[in-house]
Amino acid sequence: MEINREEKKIVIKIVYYGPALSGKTTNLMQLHDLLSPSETGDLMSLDTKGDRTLFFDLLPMVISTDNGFRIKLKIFTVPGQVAHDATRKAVLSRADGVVFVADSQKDQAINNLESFENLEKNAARVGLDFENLPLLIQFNKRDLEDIDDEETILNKWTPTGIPVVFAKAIYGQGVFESFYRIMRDTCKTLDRSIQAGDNFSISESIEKYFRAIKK
Amino acid sequence: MINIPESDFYDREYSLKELIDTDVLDKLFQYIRELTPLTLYLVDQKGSRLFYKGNIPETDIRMAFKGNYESDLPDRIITCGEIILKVFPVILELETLGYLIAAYESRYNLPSHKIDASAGLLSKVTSNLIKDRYKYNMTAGLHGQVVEESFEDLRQKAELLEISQNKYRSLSENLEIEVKKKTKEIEKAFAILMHQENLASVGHLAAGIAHEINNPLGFICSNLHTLSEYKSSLITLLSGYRNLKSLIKAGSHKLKSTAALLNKVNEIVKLEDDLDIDFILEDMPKLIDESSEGLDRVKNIVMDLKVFAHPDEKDIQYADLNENIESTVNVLHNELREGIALVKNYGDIPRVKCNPKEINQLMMNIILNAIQAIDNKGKVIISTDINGKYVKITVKDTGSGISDENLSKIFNPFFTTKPVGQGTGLGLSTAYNTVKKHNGSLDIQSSPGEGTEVIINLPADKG
Repeated sequence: MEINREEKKIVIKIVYYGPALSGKTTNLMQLHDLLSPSETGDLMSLDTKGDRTLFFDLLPMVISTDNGFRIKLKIFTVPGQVAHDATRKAVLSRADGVVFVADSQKDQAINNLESFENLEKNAARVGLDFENLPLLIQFNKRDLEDIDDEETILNKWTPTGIPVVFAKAIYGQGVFESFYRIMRDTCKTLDRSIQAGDNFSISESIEKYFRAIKK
Repeated sequence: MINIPESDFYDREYSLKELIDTDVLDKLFQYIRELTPLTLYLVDQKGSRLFYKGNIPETDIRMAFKGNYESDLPDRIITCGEIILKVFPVILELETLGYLIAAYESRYNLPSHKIDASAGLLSKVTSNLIKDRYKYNMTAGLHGQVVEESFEDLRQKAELLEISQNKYRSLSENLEIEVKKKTKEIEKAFAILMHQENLASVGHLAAGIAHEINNPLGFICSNLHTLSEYKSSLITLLSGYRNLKSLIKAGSHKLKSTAALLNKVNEIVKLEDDLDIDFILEDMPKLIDESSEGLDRVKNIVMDLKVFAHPDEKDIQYADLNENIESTVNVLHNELREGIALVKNYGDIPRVKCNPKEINQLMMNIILNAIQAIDNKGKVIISTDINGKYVKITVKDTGSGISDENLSKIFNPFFTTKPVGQGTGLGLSTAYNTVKKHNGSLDIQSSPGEGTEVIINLPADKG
């Protein structure tokens, strides 16, 4: 997070992580379509090679608050392919919250696990406190066949304390929920690091924003 | 990890100044001015000038625009006396970074569609320039970070590799030292074994020689004993004669008659008979000759042994190998059982520069092997000859021979076909080493059941 008091601006970085072709960019595209055009900018896709993200995708958002602060959200995706680890690491650095997009298909279990371990490793390398990093796992592609059932997944992940969201990102399902929950958790964490003198709550501003959207 | 200063983070917020390429804007504006005489003015959010070109003074534009920074409304028109401003907010990621102002004077009566088109084009192109620049900055920054970190990773890996390389290098160096140490230990142990083998064959030799010497010594002793008895008989007889001589010399008063004298003579004759003097006289020279012969044999054995062992000679010298072989054969005389014929074909060979003790030991090992290979009857043929620059020694036997399987192993230390306790398995190995030390060669040809031929070539050195 960056706070620019002179410009009354807070910049928050959210990163969508996960294995190749799990639907990270799809999440951002859907999010862009779901939110009002006055609040989201253009989805910036950098150098995509076919369907694959080469550098990153970036969806910017600006939310105005009551006390004149602007909250700027920068939502990034990492390239999922194993070979782009250095890029993935660079995109992850300075993240305030992470959505891990997993592929629900049974034959992707190993890829999910490896990517998750990669996230843990890279978080440590860029100096993120993984234990306290706001994190959410989205099990995507629930519309496909031969996927692990929800019970199996919940049994596996509930003990870790990491929230799980099921999604069909291609149809927009679970996309907003994932975004909403990671924003709530991230803002809660960020509020702790805001100076008491600021007399300001990011959480409240975000909640207000989401309430407005839901209407 | 590399610490990058915060201002270099690729994902940071960029100011308009960082994103506008004024040279490109300038070129574009030159074309636009050909069509429409506008004045172009670009300011950031704080009012700082980033670009200005045209006829209308900057102060007039600023005066007209004053107080209008805050609003984000697009495409506004501000009129201030003669001067009209068309204001376009420059927006990136929903944020207004600054304003592009196209100014003109009302007195020129420019057609409004021309002004709209030119100002709109400037605004659109500027907006796209900024977006592209933003993308470029982010990508280049990220790429730079990735390259730097990849480089750092590689550097660290290279460092680790170097460390492990050094570790393995020192390991391999130590290994070499260890191997050298162990090799030395093995060589030492092997030298001790060789020495023991030599001692063993010397022991074998000593036993044979003891037998050789013991035989003549036995009968010399026995002869001396007999001679001693003969001596006693002769002394007794001689006393009888002396007694008779003194009786005759002293006068006849004791010898009353010729009969008495005759009686005395008869007594001596009887004594001669009793003592078997005739036999003694006949046997005594025989015994002495025989003893003398026995002593000669002992003397010869000792001399051969002396030649064989060279106790008083230098290690390396020029030697007549025929002589060495002869003395070795003599020393081995005891080993030649009945039924084994030893044939010697000594050629006319030059002297060879060698260590005679070692050559004798070598010949003893090989001749002994040849003798031992023969079960009952057979021949051992020893030949010497000139073979180019070499002296060739051949030891051929008609013994049991060596199987092909064993033939490949006979030079291996500790390989033996002899019963346990009778062979150390070092004889041929020692022989091979000796020949190699003398820059020679040792070949063995063998057919099982027919016999074995050992061919030794030693360099002939005309010294």
